Amino acid sequence: MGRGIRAVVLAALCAAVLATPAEAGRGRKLTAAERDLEVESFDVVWTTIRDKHYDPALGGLDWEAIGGELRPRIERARTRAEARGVLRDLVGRLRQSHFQIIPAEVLEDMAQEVGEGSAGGDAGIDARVVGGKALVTSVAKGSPAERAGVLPGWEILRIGKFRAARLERIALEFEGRPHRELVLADAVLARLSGRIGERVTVRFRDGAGRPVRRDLVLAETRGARYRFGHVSNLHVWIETKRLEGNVGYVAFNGFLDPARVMPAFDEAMRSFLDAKGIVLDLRGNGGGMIPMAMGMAGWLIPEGDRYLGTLKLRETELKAIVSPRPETFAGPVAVLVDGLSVSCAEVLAGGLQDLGRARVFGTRTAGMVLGSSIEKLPSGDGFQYVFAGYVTSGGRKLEGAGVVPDVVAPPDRKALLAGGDPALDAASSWILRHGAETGEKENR
Amino acid sequence: MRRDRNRLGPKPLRRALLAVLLPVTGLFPALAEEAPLPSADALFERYVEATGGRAAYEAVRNAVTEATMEMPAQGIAMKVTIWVARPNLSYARTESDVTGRIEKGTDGTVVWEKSVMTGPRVLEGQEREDYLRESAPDKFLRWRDYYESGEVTGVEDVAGRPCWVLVLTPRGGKPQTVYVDRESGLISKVAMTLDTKMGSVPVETWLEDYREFEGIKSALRARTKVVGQERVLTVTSIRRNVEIPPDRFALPAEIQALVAKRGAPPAAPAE
Repeated sequence: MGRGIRAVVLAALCAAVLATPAEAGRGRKLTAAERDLEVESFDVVWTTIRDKHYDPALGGLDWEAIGGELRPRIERARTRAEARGVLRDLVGRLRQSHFQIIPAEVLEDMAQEVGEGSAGGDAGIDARVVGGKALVTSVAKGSPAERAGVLPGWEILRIGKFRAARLERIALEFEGRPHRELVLADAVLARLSGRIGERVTVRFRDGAGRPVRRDLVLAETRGARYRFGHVSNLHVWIETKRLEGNVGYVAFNGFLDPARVMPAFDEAMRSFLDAKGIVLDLRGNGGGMIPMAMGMAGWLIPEGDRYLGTLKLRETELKAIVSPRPETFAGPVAVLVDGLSVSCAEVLAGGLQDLGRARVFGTRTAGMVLGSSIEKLPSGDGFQYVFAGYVTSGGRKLEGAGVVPDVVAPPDRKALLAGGDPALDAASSWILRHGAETGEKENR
Repeated sequence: MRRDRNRLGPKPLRRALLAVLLPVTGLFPALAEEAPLPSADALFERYVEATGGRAAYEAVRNAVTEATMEMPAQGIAMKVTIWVARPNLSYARTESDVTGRIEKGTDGTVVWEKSVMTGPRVLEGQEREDYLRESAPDKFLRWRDYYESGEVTGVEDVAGRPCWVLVLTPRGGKPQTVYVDRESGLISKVAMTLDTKMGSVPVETWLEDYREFEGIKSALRARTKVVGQERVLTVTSIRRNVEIPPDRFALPAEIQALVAKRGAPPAAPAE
């Protein structure tokens, strides 16, 4: 879940996922006018990167030579698919996240009114690949999966014709790369989403080890619809609750829709001021707008001179400052992350970690942290490009590295089947232990 | 060429200041290439005259500006409303479905910002001074109160038209450059660096399509380039001397709480 947001915020590796059947007409021959627009788009992409990327040296690439090599290819492109292939080759040379070409058909498809047959369908299953096995880590309330009796801890064996055994090959291909967990999970999650009303057959191994089959009719993805510039109908949700032991809990799937998410976050923080601790669950969080991360940190940091990190632009450097709220929470804070915590989620987790304000639990984040913008090309395709680099307040570059948790706690089938959640359980225990130790000190 | 930075007239008529969002127009008739450089005072004096005259400016007690702010490349649009009132009150509200509500204002002493994303904040130091200067409703008539000096340094083209280059040095801030169309007298461009708590932000603004709103000319459109992105502000209306609710410029409760937490507010700006 939250895959739609990641697909927007993320990079070339998601391009394959975005190249859905909605990318229609990919085989149709371009007219001369269409080819001109593709060439014009190439020039926009090439020039934008040359002029706006935070690193004028572009990491040592000979950008002129690359342009000279690829431009004749787009001039010869026969189809949109070929043209996009050239554009993706061009942006791929940077080998950075947050570069992608989003097909116009995908943007148009997402802009359609949400309803039967439209994009934005989802089974309501969140899953991670652990030890080569795809595990259901949570099931959304009221979702098709919950209605079908799917439970956390079940192992996904097959989705339609896709056999989970193929994940091993993908795992090997991305061995050692920080976004491996994201690629593996998206290989599963992409097949559990699609058009509303679409039927997806999933074969599981249940808690007792028995193979079971469920036919899931995809329903609208969890969350409220939100439009971010050229990208429509993103689904954004936030969940807040008080856990056992008076621990506040907040989870949300993206740093988007601030008019709805921030008031809910603020209200939760106000109500948690008396809590023993707070858990910020950023697992699966697809990122979004850095100012929201700054605003959230303002509830946790009383000092007025702190910042989460620095955005490095070509013209200047901008600090992601933290403005303390009139009242701030002083107790322990745990942040939960995993390989699907991306971009802004990494900014907040890494920033709080560097400031010594939070303990991070889970698995290493995706390592995709750059400032980017999404614009439309003359061809109608979307173009996401990087204009800012990012380092944490401690000077760590998170792009390509990710946030390494203080306490590694991956999902575990046995724990999930027992109703547990290793990362959340570890975080809650730490908070309650911390509270007990603090209380003992105060008593002494 | 003469660089007359110190020739200041005592008359308030000569005291005019420019703005980014609400510029007015009208300077000299066209000057010959070899003509000496005009003084900053002379530029402002003509500027005020050509855009409505001192009487029109002095009759303004308050103003409400409505505009749209677009980031065309990103497909993002926002609604902007700005209230200003004498002597030094202002409140600006920007709203959009993408970013939520962002408010910024001053009661003449405390300068504040409150964004649904980043929360409430009291601005201090140069950031505070910059805001007080840029939002002052009487700045066109009192530019010397906000700038240490103004010097016309030469002529440069903006959008293919020759402009006087006026370098203004604020009190304590970085110099800003104003390009005044030599023929029409309109301000064509403003370039400045704003010192914010996040860092120094270079901002360039091109002012276009001047129109008269209730007796004073203002640019209908301001195109701003900031950190590589373009924003276009299009004014839809400017109403002057209207009823403004008395609490419009009051500090929001969260700002009051921040001020109380910090102790005494910063000193009032120099009169």
